[in-house]
Amino acid sequence: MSLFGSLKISASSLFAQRLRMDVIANNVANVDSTRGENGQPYRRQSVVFREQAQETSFGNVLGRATGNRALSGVQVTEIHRDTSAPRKVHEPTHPDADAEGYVYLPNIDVVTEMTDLVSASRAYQASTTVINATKSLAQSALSIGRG
Amino acid sequence: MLNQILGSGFDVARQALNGLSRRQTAIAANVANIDTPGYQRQEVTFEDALRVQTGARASGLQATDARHFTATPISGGAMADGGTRSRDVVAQRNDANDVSIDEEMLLLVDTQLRFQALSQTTGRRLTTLRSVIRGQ
Repeated sequence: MSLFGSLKISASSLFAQRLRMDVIANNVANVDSTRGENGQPYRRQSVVFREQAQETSFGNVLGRATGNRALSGVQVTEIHRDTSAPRKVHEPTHPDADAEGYVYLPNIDVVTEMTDLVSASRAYQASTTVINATKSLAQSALSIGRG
Repeated sequence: MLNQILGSGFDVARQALNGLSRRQTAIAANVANIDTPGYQRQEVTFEDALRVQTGARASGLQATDARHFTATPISGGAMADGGTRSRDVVAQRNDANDVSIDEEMLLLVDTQLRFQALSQTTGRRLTTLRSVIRGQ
């Protein structure tokens, strides 16, 4: 069971990192969106990671009581909306400019998004490496009785 | 009967394989939680527990003469249970997560090689046994 358990854990990481990449793609795509939902400029989104909640099985409860924590993957608990102030640019000809000629652009920093993207993609790669290693472990375990 | 044929080494190998596969799961969990704020790295230590369990039977040399060399099994820091534990270091990252990807990747390769070595020797042992049973 254990090897399949670790595949499941790695899969949770692949899912979470891919969702993170989707959110980053969404941010980068909307870097200049002045009119989002309810007429406000788009707000940067970010994912919140948390260790996967434990099942309340007997083994897990016993493990927690004896100090042996059960091993668990990762989950995205929330897609958080960044509430920091939007960028203010003077552009009187823009259709969304206010009375003084200022346009409010989304609070997205492309450099931050790019570094986040690299981080997500590396974490994804790391998990695929672990999956391959787990696979080779399972294969060598299966070859024990062969031959 | 079968246990007598296989010997105690087989049992030790089986437990070590179990421990290694659990370690693999711990590595998978650590890598999965590389970006989880506040996550504490998990590590599986079973070698010491296994050594205590098997005693000098598995490792160490028997001296049948006073002039023989004696080899005592290497004694590491004894860990009473073969469970998982967190490391007692101060986190260096801002998000209080103490997983280091390099360390995990090294441990991954280490675990993989150990597992392969053990499963291969166990396989060889079974092959030997099979040829003994067949008598060819």
